[in-house]
Amino acid sequence: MSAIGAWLKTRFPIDVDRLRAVTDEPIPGHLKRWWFALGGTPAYLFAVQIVTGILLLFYYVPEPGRAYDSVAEITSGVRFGWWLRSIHKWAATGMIVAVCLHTIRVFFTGAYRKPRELTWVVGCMLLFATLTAGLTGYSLVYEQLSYWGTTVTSNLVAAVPVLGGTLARFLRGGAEVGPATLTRFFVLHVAIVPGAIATLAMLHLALVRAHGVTELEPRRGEPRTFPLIPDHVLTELSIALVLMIALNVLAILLPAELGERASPTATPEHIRPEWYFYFAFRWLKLTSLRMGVLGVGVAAAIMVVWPAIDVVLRRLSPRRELSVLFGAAAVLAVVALTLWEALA
Amino acid sequence: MWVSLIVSHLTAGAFVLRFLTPPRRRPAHRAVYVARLEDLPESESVVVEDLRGVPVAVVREGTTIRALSTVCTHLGCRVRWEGNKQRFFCPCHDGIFDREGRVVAGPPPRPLDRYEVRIDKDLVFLTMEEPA
Repeated sequence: MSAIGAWLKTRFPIDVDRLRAVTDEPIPGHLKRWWFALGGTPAYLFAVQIVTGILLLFYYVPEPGRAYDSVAEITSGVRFGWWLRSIHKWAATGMIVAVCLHTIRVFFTGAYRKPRELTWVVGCMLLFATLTAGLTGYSLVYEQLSYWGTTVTSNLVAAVPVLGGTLARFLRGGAEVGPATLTRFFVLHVAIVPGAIATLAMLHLALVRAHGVTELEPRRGEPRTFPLIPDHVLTELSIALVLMIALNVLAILLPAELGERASPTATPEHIRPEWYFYFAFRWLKLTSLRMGVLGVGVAAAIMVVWPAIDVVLRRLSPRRELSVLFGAAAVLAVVALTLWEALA
Repeated sequence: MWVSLIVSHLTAGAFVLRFLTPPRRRPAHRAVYVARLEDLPESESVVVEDLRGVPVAVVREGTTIRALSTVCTHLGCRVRWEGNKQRFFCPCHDGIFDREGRVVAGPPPRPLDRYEVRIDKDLVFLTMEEPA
């Protein structure tokens, strides 16, 4: 061992062989297929967003009078500002897509069943936190979509029974949307939500490691297991490389745009949230306010407690996969509402 | 020790909640002059701003003045007057209100809010909420 190695070993008395034994668990063969490795994709995209988000903070000013101008400066004044903003935006979009696909995959393979119910619950929290990150993120741009998105969101929260009024005042920083609201959404976006995502992701990963990955029957020619290091790490790194190429292609071909400056006096004639909220937007058009809020809340609650509902369904009908039927209906409903809004 | 540790942290948590949630204040109101009666065209919607910068649609029909808030009662977007259809339309969730502010279609739960109107000689005043 070199002198530097010996010095380090004295200061960091970690047994590398023991560490390797703990971390190097055998990975089931089906994880060679990329759609089973979708858990690492949002983690990588989250890391990209943390880095690009910190860089954007060097120029962004979280003040209603200057926020829009600072984003305009990032987009067209600062060197490579458009690129960083676009990568940040596309990484956010990609993370939402990846978390949704991961959730769908986990649901339809029944990987939320005993003993992995808590892993599912934490995963649901991660999905909600990711959507919150998207929502609070586009509110900071202070374009028309940002202002009216913030207004609609805070009024939706206000419509929640019992605690809604207090929660809305907390979000707005007052009785209505104003300068304090931007500060609050800024704090949520750069500190609280990323902190929550990081904490939940670590807990999620710890639970995945504690229970091990659900094992499926390997395909012909697929190994039953393969080592985490280097095989699985290399798979994840390959996915990261593909993602980085995709983010750059999207940033160049479809860079993040900047809409009209926020105007609290006039809602634009055509306004829509980001595509991942189309389903909720259409749902709110179809129902009364109370029904709209309750519908979204109840759907989210059902999703979180699905492992318990699944137990009851399997007891009622052991031969049929009722969960798959309900899951397919839910996915179809969300896709239909999204398409309806997109094509309207 | 456990009890005091829990109680002290719960107290701190309660203080933090109070710190983060602005208090509910009863807003003050005052009458504000907005136009002369003769300056308001018959059956047309004239837009003025209240003290918080929210547009208010003021409509005159004979000597009757109606002042409607343009804040949609659904989720707070601004409604716009569509003169050719004689209706207020909310672009966010397609809420539709008639010229009197009553809900005609869409998800809004109640009519548009009205401002109290006072006419003193030929001067029109609206009672408005003071900004917080």
